[in-house]
Amino acid sequence: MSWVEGLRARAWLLLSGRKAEARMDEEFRFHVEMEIQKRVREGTDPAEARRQAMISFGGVERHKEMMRDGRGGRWLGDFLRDVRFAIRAAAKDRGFTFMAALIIAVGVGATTAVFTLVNAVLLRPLPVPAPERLYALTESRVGAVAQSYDGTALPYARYVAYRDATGSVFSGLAAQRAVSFALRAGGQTTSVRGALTSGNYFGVLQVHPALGRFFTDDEDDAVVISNAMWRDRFGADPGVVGRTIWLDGLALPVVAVAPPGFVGTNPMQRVDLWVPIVAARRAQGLTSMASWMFLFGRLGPGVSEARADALVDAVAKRVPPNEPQSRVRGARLESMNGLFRGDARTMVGKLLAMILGAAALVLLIACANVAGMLSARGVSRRREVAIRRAIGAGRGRLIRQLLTESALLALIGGAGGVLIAEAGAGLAKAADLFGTVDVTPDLRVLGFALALTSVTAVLFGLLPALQTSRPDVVGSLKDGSWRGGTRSGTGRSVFVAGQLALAICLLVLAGLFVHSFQRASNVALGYDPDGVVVATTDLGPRGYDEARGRAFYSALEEGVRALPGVESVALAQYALLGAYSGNDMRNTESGGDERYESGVGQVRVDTAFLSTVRMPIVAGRGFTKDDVRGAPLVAIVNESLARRFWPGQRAVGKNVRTMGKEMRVVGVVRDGRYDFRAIGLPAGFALFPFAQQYAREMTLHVRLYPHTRPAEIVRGIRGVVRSLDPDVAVQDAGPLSVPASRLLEPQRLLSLFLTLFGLVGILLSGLGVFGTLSFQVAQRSREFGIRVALGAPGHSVVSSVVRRTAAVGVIGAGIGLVASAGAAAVLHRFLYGVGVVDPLTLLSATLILLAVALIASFVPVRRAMRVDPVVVLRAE
Amino acid sequence: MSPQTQADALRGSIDLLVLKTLSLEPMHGWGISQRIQQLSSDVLEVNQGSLYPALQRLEKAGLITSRWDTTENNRRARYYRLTASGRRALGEEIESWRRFATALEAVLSTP
Repeated sequence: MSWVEGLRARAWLLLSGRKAEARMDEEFRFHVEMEIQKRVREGTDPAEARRQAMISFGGVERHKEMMRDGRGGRWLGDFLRDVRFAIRAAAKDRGFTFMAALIIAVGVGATTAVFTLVNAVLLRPLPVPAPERLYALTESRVGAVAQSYDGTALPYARYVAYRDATGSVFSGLAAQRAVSFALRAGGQTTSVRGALTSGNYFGVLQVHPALGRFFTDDEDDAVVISNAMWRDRFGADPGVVGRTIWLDGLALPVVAVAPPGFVGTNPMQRVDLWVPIVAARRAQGLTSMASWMFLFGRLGPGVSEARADALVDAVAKRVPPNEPQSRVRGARLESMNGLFRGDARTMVGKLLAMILGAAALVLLIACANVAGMLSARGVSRRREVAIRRAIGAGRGRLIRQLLTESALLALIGGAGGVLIAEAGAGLAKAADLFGTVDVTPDLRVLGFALALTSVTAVLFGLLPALQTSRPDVVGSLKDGSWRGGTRSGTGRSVFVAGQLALAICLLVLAGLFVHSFQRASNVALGYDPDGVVVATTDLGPRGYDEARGRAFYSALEEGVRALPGVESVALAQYALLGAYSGNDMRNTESGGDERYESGVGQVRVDTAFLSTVRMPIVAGRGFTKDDVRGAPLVAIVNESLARRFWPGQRAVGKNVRTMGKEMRVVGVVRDGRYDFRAIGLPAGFALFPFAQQYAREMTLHVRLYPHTRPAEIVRGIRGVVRSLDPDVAVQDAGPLSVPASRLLEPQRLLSLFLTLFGLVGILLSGLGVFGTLSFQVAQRSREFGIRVALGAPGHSVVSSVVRRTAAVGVIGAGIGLVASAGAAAVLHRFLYGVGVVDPLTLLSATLILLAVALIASFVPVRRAMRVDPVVVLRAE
Repeated sequence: MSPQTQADALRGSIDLLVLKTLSLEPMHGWGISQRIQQLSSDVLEVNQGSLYPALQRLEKAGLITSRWDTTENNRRARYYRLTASGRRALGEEIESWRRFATALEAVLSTP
């Protein structure tokens, strides 16, 4: 087979390198020897014979060169030579290399730093085997839907329905829900974060215990503790397995210690205990499970995500939900990487995308900057390039070599960027900027930095390489001084204009978001959570009807109010800052246009709620005793909803419609952060009187007098509930806390990043202006010298240069402003209280740009004006 | 023919000449150039600058292979020989060359 032989020959040629050279030498030597012998035999003198033979053979080197070309292993040798040359060139021009590498480092560093955040928040998988096979199940609904950081919460019965119907795609579907426990061990009682889980929880995750044995499906008498708790609380006691601990009064034996680093299915809510839900149920004597759970499963072997996704969706549509007015649109599977699920994940994703986009803009500015520098340096290397082309270097060869130099720069800059990113991560950790989120860079981040570096090298290296290697050999060699072609000058102007456009775009966006953040932060929490204890009770499982339920709740309120240390008691359907239930809502005002908003948080509250949590009323009134069954249905909305539904009008007295009922607005409360969606902007929110609209599950909000111990109140609440009905469970009892994750304050983070990047961007562009201007001045110094010698005043000499730079600046700024308006229009949903075109922001951004440009131009222009004709002309 | 045009004409057919020469017996590069010269009664002189690249080309294409051996003077030399596919290619090349020559001849001999 010829191709096999050919392949073998090719491979041998490619790899043999030096041996092939030696053999070629030998072959040619043989040939020449034979020629000499032939001529000697014909009678020629030996020395003459040798001379003739050599001539007839031709240039040996040329032959070898042709053979080498034919060999095909050329590129490797060339590449190594290029690299060596690039290193030498970089070392020779240290100042340039340092500057360029630094600028690249800033760009790559910024982007990598943001990616580190993205990695920690969205990409990092759980520390379990084969984490890519784990998926969380989220439902999409019309109407009432409960959402939280962990995704969609579903009732336990629904979990069972899913579990039983998806055995063909999942090797296991588990459920979990994080709760707080009062833990008593070794005489001490503390509040800890734990998880109620289905029996197959650990089986699905496939983690292995550090000690003991995990509980399985049929065990209901077990608890697993985390590795950290084992060390901190139990002193790493090897005999901890078998010990009994008390959770909310229930005695459970410790059966296992989790492996180090495992903190549950959401690293942000560090869980220290895992309890099978059946154990909790047994403790509270309940016969059915009303707990809301979060589902996740592991794909079976060979099952694709698409298949499982389709099945889950079908099951979701098939099983009707229990909640009234709630229709299931479908369900889908979601990756379990990162810290957020469901709606929250989408929101955080958008936020991080914006920050990453801003960082990418900074990187682009850095690339344009270095491209300008390379282009300018290319002009001064015209001679060298021309000579090389004259002796036969192909353009492609030259471009390859120039790109190698760029790649080297990019590599140095990239390494610097990684260092900057790591330093940034260290700073953020020291400043506790991200709370419990672990932002150390890992392999994925390094891989990203490497890929980014390669892209960067091409971005800033290609155009200058093309420019520099342009065929203008004769012109460049003829002229003594290096004169840059006007075409490359245009390229440099484009680079500068581009930088200015991007920089001003960033500045404007930063300004808008800072403005928006200020507005939003003035909104604040909207109520006072300190000193409030919450406890949730659900009467559903006990089968209470409305009459019995109301009786229970009023007795509960009375009983808790009687506890010592209690200042006021209120009931609300959901705990503030907890999960929420959102519905669709319309305004129905005859004469006006109908507005519609979906996902409006809706909470049934009693009359004492607003005063207990200290939520201020800005218009109208709160609920009173008159808002009862039979009276006209009323509602209270928040400022944002009022503003969106009835812009510029009084909301009080208008009507809204939701869940098939129409209500009249009687009051407006201040905007605040009521639910975990603190990530977004103050959402629409509506309150209804509990007296008019009943709910089975209500949360007590109890404001305590100062110095009252929350744990005692919780105990008291449990006592009251037990006295009313020992089979009603008290869930999630504890102080109304603001989890650290909310302290992320995404808006603040966004403004911080954007401002930082905006300033860096404008500084870089200023540098670009300075560099280009200096270059132009230096280029035309001869011309300036002549004009000055002929009597032109200093300032007129530079006017053309200044005019050109100003024109570039204006064009760049103009493009940037337009681009920023476009970007702001796309992002306006994230801007609170700020219009797309904000005169203050635009003005300040333009002024900053102007100032930077002026400062950057100052030195070169002054130098141009001070040109000494004698010096310049003599240097020719 | 002037030496220049002769070289041009030769370049296209050198592969053919090398293959044919090697079909007679395996030999080294110098031997090939001598044999071609001899067989063509000194009309065709193969330039070393074309011969060795042609040999490399043919080897890369798998039509010939090489191997180091000793000459009768006990010198080391690289010997080339035809492969099976080289033999096949030679046959095809001769065919197409003959067809070409015949067609050329037909055109040129039209009165």
